[in-house]
Amino acid sequence: MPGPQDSTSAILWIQDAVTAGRYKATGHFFDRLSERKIDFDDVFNAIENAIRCLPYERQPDHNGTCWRVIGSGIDANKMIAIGVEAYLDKKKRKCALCTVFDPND
Amino acid sequence: MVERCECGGVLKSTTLKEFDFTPVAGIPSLLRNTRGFLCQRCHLPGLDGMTINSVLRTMTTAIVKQPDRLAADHARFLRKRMRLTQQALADRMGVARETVADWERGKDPVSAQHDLVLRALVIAELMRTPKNAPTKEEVVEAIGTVRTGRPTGKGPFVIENAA
Repeated sequence: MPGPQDSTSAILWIQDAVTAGRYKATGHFFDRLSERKIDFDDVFNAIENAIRCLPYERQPDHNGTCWRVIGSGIDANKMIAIGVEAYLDKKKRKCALCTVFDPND
Repeated sequence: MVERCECGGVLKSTTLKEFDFTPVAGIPSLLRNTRGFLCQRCHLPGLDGMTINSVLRTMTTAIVKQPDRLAADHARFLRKRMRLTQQALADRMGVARETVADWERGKDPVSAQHDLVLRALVIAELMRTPKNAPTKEEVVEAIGTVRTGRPTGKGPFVIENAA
C-alpha cells in the first residue's frame, strides 16, 4: 500500500505534506472546524507538534494509509485529533487528506 | 486516481464563485473565484492545501500592512499565525498575558506602540522562511508608521482569484 507503514514515518509524511500545501481539506473538514471552534492554525500546530500518531481502521480513499494525529491547539487547553490519509498522488508526491475528530472519539 | 471526499463522493475541480473562509482563518473572510473542488455527492466545496496556505499568507501580509490600528480579531489572528499562546506573545512583548487577552476580547485596544511591535514580530516570523519573506516595500508599509488612530471595524476580508 503506497503510504507510510509506521507512526514515525507517517507523522513526517503528514508534516511535510501539510507544510508544502500538498493536502486537501473537504467541506466536512470546514464544518468541523466551525463546530469545534478551532481554526486552521490550531490544526497546523497540532500536526507540527503532534504528541501521538496512531493508525486507525478506515478504508483509504486514495490507496494510502490512515492515521489519527493528536496534538494541542495553539491555546494549549484544546486537544485536537486529526484524521489523515497519507497517500501518493499521480505524480508520486506525498499527500494528505485531512479531517478533524473529537479527541475522545 | 480519482480523488474522493470523506463521504465517498468524487471530488471535481472547479472555480468556486464564493467560499466562506471564516472557519479556516478564524476571522470573517470570503474568497471569490477561487480554484477548489466540489464533491459530486454531498456538494460541499473544498480547497487544496496550496490555496489555504497561500490565502493565509496573503491575509497575514494584508493585516500587517493595513493602515488602521489592529482590531481585536486581527491581533488574535496574527498571534495564532505565529503559533504563540497568549502567554508566549505577552512574554515577547513585555506585557501581562491579561493584556493580550484584553486586546483579543476587544476590551482594550492594542496601543499604538504595541501595534507596531506586534507587526514587527510577525514580519520577523515571516522572514524566517525565505518563501514567505515580505518585500522591502511590504516591510516599510507594515512597520514604517505608528498607527495612532483607533482600529476601525470593517467588513470581511475579500480575496479575489486565490490560486
